[in-house]
Amino acid sequence: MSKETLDNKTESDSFDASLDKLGSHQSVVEVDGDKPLERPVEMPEFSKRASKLYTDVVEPMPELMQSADARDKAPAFESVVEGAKSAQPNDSGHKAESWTRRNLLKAFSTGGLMAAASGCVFRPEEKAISYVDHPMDSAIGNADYFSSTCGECSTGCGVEVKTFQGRPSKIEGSKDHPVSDGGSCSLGQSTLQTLYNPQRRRKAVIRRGRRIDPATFIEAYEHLGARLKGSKNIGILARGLTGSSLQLYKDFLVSVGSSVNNLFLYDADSRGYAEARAHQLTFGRYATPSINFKNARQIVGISAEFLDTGASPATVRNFSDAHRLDPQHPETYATFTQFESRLSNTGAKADKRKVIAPGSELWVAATLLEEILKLRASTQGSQVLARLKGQLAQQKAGFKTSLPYLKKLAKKMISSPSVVVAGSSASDDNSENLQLVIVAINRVVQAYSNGVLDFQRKIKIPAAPYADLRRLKQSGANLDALIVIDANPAFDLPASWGWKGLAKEIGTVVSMQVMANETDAYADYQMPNTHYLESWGDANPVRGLWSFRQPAVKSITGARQAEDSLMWIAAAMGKPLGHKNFHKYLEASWKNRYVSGGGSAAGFRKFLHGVQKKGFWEYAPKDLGLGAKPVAGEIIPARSAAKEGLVLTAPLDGRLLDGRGSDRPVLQEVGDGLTTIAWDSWLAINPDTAKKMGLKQYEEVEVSAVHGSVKVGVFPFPGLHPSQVILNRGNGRTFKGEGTSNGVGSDPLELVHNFLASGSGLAQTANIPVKLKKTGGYVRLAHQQKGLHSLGDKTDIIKKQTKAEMVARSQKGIVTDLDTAPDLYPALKVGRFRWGMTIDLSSCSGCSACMVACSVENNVPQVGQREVAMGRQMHWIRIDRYFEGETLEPQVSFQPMLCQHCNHAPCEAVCPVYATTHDDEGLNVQTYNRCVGTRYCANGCPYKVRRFNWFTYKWNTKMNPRATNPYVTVRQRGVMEKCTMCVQRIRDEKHSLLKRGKKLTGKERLEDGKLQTACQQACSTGAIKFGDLLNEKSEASIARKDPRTYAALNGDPEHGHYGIKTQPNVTYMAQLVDHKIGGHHGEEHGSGHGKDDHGEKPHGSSHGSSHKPAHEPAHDSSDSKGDHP
Amino acid sequence: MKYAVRWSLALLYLSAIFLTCFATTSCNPLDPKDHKWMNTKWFFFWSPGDSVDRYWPIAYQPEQPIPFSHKKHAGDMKMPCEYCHSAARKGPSAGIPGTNTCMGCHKYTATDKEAIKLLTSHYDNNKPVEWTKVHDLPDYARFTHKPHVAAGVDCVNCHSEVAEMEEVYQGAPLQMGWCLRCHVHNQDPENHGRLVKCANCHF
Repeated sequence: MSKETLDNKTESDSFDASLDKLGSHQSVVEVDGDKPLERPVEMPEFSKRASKLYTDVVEPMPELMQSADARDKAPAFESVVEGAKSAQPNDSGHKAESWTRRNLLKAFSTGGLMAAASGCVFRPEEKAISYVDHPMDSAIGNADYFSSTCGECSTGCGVEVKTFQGRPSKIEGSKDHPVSDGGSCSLGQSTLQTLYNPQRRRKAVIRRGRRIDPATFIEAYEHLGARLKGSKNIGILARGLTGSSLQLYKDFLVSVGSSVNNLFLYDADSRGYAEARAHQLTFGRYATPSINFKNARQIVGISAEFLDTGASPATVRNFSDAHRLDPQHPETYATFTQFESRLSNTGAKADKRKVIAPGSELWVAATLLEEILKLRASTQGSQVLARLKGQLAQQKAGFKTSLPYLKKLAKKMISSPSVVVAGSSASDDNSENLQLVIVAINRVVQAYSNGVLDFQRKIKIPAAPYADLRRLKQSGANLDALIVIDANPAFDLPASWGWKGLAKEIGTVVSMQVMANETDAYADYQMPNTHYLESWGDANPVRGLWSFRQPAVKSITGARQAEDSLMWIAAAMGKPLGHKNFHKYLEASWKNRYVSGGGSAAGFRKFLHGVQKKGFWEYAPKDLGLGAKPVAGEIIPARSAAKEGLVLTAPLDGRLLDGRGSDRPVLQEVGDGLTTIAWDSWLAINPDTAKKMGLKQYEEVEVSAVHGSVKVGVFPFPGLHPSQVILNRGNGRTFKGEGTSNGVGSDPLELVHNFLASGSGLAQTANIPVKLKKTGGYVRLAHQQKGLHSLGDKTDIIKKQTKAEMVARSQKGIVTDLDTAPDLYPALKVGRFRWGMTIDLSSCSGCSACMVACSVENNVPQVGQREVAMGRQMHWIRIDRYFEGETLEPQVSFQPMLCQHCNHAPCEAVCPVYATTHDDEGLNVQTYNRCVGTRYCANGCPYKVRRFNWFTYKWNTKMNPRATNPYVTVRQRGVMEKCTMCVQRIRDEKHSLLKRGKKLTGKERLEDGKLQTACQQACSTGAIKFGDLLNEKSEASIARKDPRTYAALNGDPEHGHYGIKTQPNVTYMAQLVDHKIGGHHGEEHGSGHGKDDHGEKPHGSSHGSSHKPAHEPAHDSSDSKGDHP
Repeated sequence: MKYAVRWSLALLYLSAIFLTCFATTSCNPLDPKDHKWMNTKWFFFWSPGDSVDRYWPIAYQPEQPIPFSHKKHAGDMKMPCEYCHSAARKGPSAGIPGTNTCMGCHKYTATDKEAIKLLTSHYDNNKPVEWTKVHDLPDYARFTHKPHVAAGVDCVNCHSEVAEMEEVYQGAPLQMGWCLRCHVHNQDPENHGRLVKCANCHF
């Protein structure tokens, strides 16, 4: 890529013109927050918010959300600093009570004696409560595993629920399940924080006028049944789902005499609607295809979000496998190109990423189609293109720089198997047209027939029908009653949709929710629903797959499953469904399925138990033989508004989705994958735009659209088109309770007023014209990575290699010995096992599922916004992300950073009480009861992965005593903690080798893959490889010997630079990039000294040392201190 | 004046402790009559160091809701430990058996005894029996039975002669030093150090 030249600033109001000045006067990604401080910064005040996390305070601790009053009571930074500055020596007349040395000695000796005598603690009386009826095959202290299906979204992943004595403790993706393939997402991992959330309602509620009366479920059923007797028009509004529950809803409606059309479903991800609609118009079936990236060599994304929110873990794994270079077989590598107007996790993984003007996705696709049609004729394709030709030329201005790439791409797509994936979770008027064009392109490049897209057999069944929201809006007012199940229309539909008015017009609204939320306020009856871990059910996400759901725990709050409630209501109305409960209904429905599939009635029991145990039932679906229809007539491209000014897109948040995850502290605290902002919303804006508008980071702006406005803090961020601003959905909840989400963030849906002309009636959540206005206030955004780090010449943090380099190194068979460095330490002691981990930087997409999994597995506390802003977050594993290159199209690197378990650990040497030791298996072990809280170890850790418990953090003692994992210590105030490589799992697996009466030979090896750390197990991309390095066949030891592997901050041993010589057991595999930026010229020298960072002094003489021969001591990379938090 | 108060309070406190502890050496710690009050949670300390069985003549013997006698069952009837405590070979906790294990015999045997009637009423009313833990370790030490049972460590090594106890008491100090006596001794030189490892119990 040619060097960008410095451009003279030409005054131009059009933001499109700024595309010409790619990178403008900066060649390095940089925003205000990165500059060194000229003077101490005044801490802007926190916005006034108040919320409590849990009840039952055990120890004093700052509240997670600081209210103005609470903040005044608690010492703020300013006052602490002020206090220190103004501290004067005590010279006032307090002589009578002051401590002289003599008094002190006396007190100590007395105290010492007393302490010696009573230095022990009172022995607590602990109860051992046994079962009344001990279940067979279950041992106290051992986990029981149940297979179930996750109900967080409609994807239908199979999960394995680890329970201890009836209490779920951990969720894992089910290994063999076709949808999850062993992986999971942050929502799934954090599900226990909803299961045990104190905000869950325990009683049903009947609203009588203005009075809200708690009632028992039976009372509520009778009351509702009496009220609805004789009603003919009852409706159900539910979150999109598949499976037997859907059938039950329909049966309920029929049974009570209402029409089946009164079932309304809606899904959070608007892309699903558009894609399914496009396939319906083209192939005649409303569904989306299954995708197998491994059969493609060119993957093109146009605002694709399949690594953010849009895909199942199995699809993510499939993509990662396709997108991982096998240096021995480089021809199997699939190149991924993404065109988008904002930086998403998916775009960050692209080999080539081009920024386009917001709203030009359709035109990019059209251009691509045009280029492809030049190379391969297609009548369908030409017809589709003809519909768009009119505006195409004019729209191309929005992505001028991408045009040459599109041409090249078209050539590659014709010559190798390829696929285009498009559409983001935010929709605008062209979303459906975009999908139609994409289907046309995929047909021209034969993606449907060469095994990449499967739309004949394994069709993905969409969760929500196309027009339900529109139908509800049109005919909902006629309903006598509406039962809302697991849906929150009061929050996740924009206010302008009119839920409030609709709820008023509908005679009776019944709300069946897992968590108390905004919709409850509109309900006449609240009948709390059970969490999916407490429910029976199933899902049918893909043709040929039925995933089973069974309860892993009895209803904790006494809630009843919505399906059961429906059956009771029907009975109370005098129209029972004919089954005893939903469990029986489910069994009957499965029996039908089994028998009609060819099974015998006698074998059903056995079959069902098998399904329950395995978690799913799979069969090979028949080929549907769908043919394509001409669709060109369906394309009516929306006239795009003139692109002046800013447009806002509100995508689904990667962890919170549409708000369903916002009540979980762990999700709020893990923070966004790209900005690392926790506990808040932010407005991402292009840094150049911000500069032009005079906006600085942290400044609060009022974002106003036609019908509404929100206040949010500004966060200049690279990778955005200059006219694009982003405000993620999920926060800004209006439910006023003691919930976690109370007061957090702002809701972009308040700006949404335009409803798309399409049949779906979805709202326009992308490209909303907005105006920004400074309010004069500040929002202290709690971002966990302090700046938008540019790597500059710090090459031993992230190593990047091009494809050619990787292949060459693999052919040469370069193996770097990462365990030897010239130093004074004795040789490495090796025990029976050696635990190590290698993380593939090319695969990691920054989704943060590992962070959530680790927090849940290890009882890591959540500390709240204020503490996070102070840098006191407790994550044992964090994801650092680095940007290199130009502001608009940076090269993004994600690096999961955890305790590196250094063999020459700086932390072990300095502990005064020997609380952190290195054991013979390579682990750096932290003994919590010895730790006195000196924090010297954290001082010494160069990776800054040690976490100190500044307080004894609150735990949810009401519903789940202490924490979720009973087999990991919950740490108290004053104790240091860090990643332990899940030593509790390691110990349990080692014990599985023991057989009574047999002596161990010391040569037993654990089966690779059986022992997984929590982060490894959650990772859908397979980036984390953990295992026994002494087992040559384990993936960890194979990865460690890979030519791409290096140890962070340990320099470049190949060339004799050893960095800080910590000899970690955790290593990283270099990131695959298509070109190196700046100082990475020349593969010979690991450290570069490329373009100077803006404003940074060049490292004078140190540059010279990089060319010195290898035996020069201590290369300057040892002083490249990453400014990690 | 203040210091005098402080010193005398300290002396009083110390002497109270010493008197109550050492003055009672004449009584039999294993006799329930003599030391019930000493087993209340307000009195009994976890002492520092390796001294419970040598210097302190008191063993922790808390009161149990049902007077189950190990002497009768494990001693006279020679029931093996793992008949009830079967979880010992499977995981961290040996586990107190569920009431259904007791009812396996006691549905028909000794049904006239008060204790059995109490047990039966618990079972019939679906009420679990709340035993008081005798052998208890602080939460930061995570002991697991499985490798010990697999290695052939006999139950009496740590739990002393439970088969001779009418009411279970803790006969061994269970301090780390006491554990280490075995761990250091039984280390396999080839597998250097795998038993003496912080991460074995403290995580």
